[in-house]
Amino acid sequence: MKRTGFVTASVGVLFLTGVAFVQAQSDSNTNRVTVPFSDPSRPGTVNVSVFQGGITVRASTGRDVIVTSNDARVSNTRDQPAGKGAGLRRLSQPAGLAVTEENNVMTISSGRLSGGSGVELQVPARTNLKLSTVNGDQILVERIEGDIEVTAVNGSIMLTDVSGAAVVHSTNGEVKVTLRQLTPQKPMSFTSFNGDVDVTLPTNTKANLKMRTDHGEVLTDFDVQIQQRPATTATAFPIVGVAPPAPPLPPLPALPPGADANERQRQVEERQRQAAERQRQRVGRGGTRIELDSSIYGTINGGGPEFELRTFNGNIYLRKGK
Amino acid sequence: MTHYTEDELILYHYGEAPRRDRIEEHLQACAPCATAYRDIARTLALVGDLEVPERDERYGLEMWQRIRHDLPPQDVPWFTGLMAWHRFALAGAAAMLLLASFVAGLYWPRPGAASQDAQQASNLNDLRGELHQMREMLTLSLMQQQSATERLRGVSGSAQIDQPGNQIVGALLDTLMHDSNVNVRLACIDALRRFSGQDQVRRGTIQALGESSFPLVQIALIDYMVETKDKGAADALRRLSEDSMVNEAVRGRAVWGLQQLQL
Repeated sequence: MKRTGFVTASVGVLFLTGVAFVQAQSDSNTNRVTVPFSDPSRPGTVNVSVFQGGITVRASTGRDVIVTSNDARVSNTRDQPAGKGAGLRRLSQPAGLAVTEENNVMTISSGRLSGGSGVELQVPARTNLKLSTVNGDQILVERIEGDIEVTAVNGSIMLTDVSGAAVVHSTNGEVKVTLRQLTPQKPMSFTSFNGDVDVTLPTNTKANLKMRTDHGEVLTDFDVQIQQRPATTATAFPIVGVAPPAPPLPPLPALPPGADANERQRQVEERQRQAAERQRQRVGRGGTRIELDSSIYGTINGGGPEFELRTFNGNIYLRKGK
Repeated sequence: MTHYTEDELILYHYGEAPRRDRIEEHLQACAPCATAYRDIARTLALVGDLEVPERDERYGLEMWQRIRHDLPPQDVPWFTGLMAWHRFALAGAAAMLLLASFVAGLYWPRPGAASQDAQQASNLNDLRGELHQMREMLTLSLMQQQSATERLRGVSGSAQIDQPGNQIVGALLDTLMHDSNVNVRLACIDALRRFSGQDQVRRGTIQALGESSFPLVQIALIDYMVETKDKGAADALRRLSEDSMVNEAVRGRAVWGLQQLQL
């Protein structure tokens, strides 16, 4: 019979602040709770969703999940209260983490919107993860095997020595992922808006790649077989008939006396490039079909599931693992 | 040439078919069967890692309680007593019937080779239809999973379905608008590209552009609008370009989109 457990733990204590007091009581800043999965014989799932603070998840040899919360006492770093608060002591609030376990899914969340604290977890190595933070500086995951979904808004994401499949997005931070082993036939996706995307895959990885950066470069040491964009079916663009040819480009201006012949050659090459570009922007059904998709499509080691690497402001690094 | 059935090919896929070497030879020689096998293998690959949900030990009892009131009352048939008295006579009659069927089979005219081929072609078509349906159901099921990687798998699997039905297109639009994961939404935009001629897709993508708050998704949608020359997106693009709460790069892209569409 499957056992269903339900554990709720409020992590955090109320304490007085003041630099001297905090230093003396530094050990009590850390709150720790151990929560078992209801069925430890199969991989559990851990969902962590916090607004403030980073998340660190490391693999352990145990079967339980150990949640450690470092209460960030925002008042530690502040000056003494001034103005209306002058002469008063500042009280800081606990992290207010709630831990719930049901059907092998553990959910850890924080309702606090300020005074962020970091959350550290030790979980069994084979665990599925779903992690998200808004204002944490970093989400770090080490040596976990499973389905890993990580989302951050204002922080970076680092997955180190993980196995399985990952779907990762940071809006304003870097995404750095090192995968040791992949689950076969599972697509993956690594994206950022304002950060680099740096992914290391096992050397023998078979994949179909889609890589795109709007303001950056794509760099790799894999032997990528570049391919055309996958064709869409006729329902996508009901283009009827053959596209009319693009209007001719204006003639090249006459060379000034004594001009370099190489300059003319350069102009001719530029003209050919422009013509090719116009050809790409083919006309169909009375209107211009503009090929906006500047993604690089390619395969590695013969192709496989689809992996997308994408950023808007940043570089893409695709590396071979050791 | 005798073709293999769907069941035999599925057993072959899982390495459980008898005379495996003969099937392998046949697949190399027979293009229709090889195509059917590739379809089966691709479909079965989609379900490879799905976890089978565990049943509670009370499942049987609960199911019985749920259906027992809908079952018709069972009366004892009037011939129950008769059966008891004439069991041996009935067994003899059944044996005679079996023998008669066997003899009739020996003299029954056999269908010609042409009709056999037509029958096999029809079977293959049926098989393809079933596979198509199965693949659609699997794709829809994957898009409902808790795991983002599974949902991504469903979205990318939809690209492998020829002429998918409205359910698939609807599920892609729903995922584009409501999925909690940015990357899954991005994959949906790619998957929807081949349906951009459909009205519901045009309306859905415009609605998604107005509702999405993820900059990467917003930019991908603006590019999609321009690429598909969707002039109906003008209002949504204008609103985006004038909204001070929207990311600056997205606003710039919206202005560019309006220019590209010459609106």
